[in-house]
Amino acid sequence: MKVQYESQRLAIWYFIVAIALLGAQLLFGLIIAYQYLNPDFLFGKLNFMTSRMLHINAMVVWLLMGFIGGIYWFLPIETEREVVGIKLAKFGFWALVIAVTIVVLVYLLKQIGSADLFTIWFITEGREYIEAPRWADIGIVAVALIVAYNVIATVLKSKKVTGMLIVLMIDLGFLFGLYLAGMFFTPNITVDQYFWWWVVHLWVEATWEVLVGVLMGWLLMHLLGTPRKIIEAWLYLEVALVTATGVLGLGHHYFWIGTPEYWLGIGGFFSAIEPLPLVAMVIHAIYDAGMHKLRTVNKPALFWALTQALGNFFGAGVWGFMHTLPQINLFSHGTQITPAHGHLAFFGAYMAINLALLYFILGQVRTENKYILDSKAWKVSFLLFVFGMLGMTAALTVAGFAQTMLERATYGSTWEAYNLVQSHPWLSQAYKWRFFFGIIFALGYPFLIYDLLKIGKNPTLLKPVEEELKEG
Amino acid sequence: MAQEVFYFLLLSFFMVLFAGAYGVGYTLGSIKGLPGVKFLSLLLGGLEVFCAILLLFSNLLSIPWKALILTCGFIYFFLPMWWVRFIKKFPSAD
Repeated sequence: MKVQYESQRLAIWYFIVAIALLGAQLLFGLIIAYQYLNPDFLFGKLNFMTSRMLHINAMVVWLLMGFIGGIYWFLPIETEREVVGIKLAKFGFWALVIAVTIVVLVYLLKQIGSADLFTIWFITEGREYIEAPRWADIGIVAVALIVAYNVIATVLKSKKVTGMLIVLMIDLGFLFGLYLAGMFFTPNITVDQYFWWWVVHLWVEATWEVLVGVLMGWLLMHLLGTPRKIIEAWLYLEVALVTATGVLGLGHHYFWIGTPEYWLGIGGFFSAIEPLPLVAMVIHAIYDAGMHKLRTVNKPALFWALTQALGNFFGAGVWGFMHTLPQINLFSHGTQITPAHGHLAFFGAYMAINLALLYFILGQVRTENKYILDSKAWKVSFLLFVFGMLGMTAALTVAGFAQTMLERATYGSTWEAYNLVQSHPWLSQAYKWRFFFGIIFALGYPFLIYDLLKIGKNPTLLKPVEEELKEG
Repeated sequence: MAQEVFYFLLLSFFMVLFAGAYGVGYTLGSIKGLPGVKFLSLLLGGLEVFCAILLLFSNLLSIPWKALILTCGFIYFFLPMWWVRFIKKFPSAD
């Protein structure tokens, strides 16, 4: 299938920018990993806080752009018509690209401002992870609204209301609505944090998870030919489980920010059952892949889709559960166990699905499902990414264990304890290993770019689907 | 205290890790008809419950929390059996 709709062309543009931002995320990640080893590196020019902000913000934006790209690819297929507001969609895309460019330039060149409204509006809001200045926040909400409008208007116009589209429409409402919670100022830090987590946790563990469920559903339908009724049944079940556990699982962020004590019980209970849907998803993925004997017309898309289920389980489930109960979180809160969990969970849950979607689209565009999309370069990049991420996670976990046991449980969470433990070999060596595996991970990027540019362009190098079917 | 915290972290890590490994093994064993894989996965499931039971000895947890952990331990043990049976009830994707 060649590109049939204008919105699918736009989807490809979304993915191009997303992959460029992945490169920026990796670059700033390597800089901050090295600054752990050599704090003087770029000191005064590109401080740790700025690079860290760019590392995380680039990740949030590229993942979001990939999701939007996925929506714009599948929406016309699902509704069998062009997206209603295609001009608006293009405007939203360019507005987002220009806004991201300006914000990054301001982050790099200006970095900080005085404590007044000008800084909040034009430099940075200062809230961790959602540092974008207020004007850019409004832009993000506007783009989310454009996507939501386009989905709803296209569905209504096409009169094809499927279960997956209903889930998507409801989810997009929450996607832009929840972001509003992180956009107002309050002088009370507890109130501020309370609503800040609505964006940081609920976006990631509710709206994004549901959005990924929809995109994964479409991917499985088109990649493995799984019937719609099965996909929709699973989507309802898994969305129910994810929202049932994930929404009040928010409570694990309310343990130590000054909220009432009952959040210890609520957060602890729902966090303990949060891995349930993740285990269920892994079982489902293994079952599907096993039934198809890993046969597919698009190998990289299938492997990244499987990695999504496994990575989500390990990163969010195993590493999340380990430090989520209040009794242990009292000691582990804010140690390197948190970034260990964050790195693996984001890689598994969101980076993997974005790459699966991108490879699926490339397969559709370049081989039209007549050849098995495969190459050596995707395997190399896949292995470097997976190996690098597992290494980084392991190193950060060791560092986090040392912090939890020594800095917190033994020396009592003082600044003196913090500084003392930072020079402990379990931390200093772990930071070196994290940097080493960060380089391994980053090496996957040029292979990925090379592969994305080349894969499927020369069908004579690929095996025809008919031949694969004959071999059984 | 540090030792208590260390064992708690380690046991909760392995509890969910074994739960996932058991889920994968049980599913593969079921769809491929490999009783050996299924048996090995059940051992992993047993280890998952064992980790949950060891967590009950932690002084960090009060009785309601111990009940929660034990319940979770058993849910994670039975989940793959229920889930695979549930998936099989759906019409085949092939």
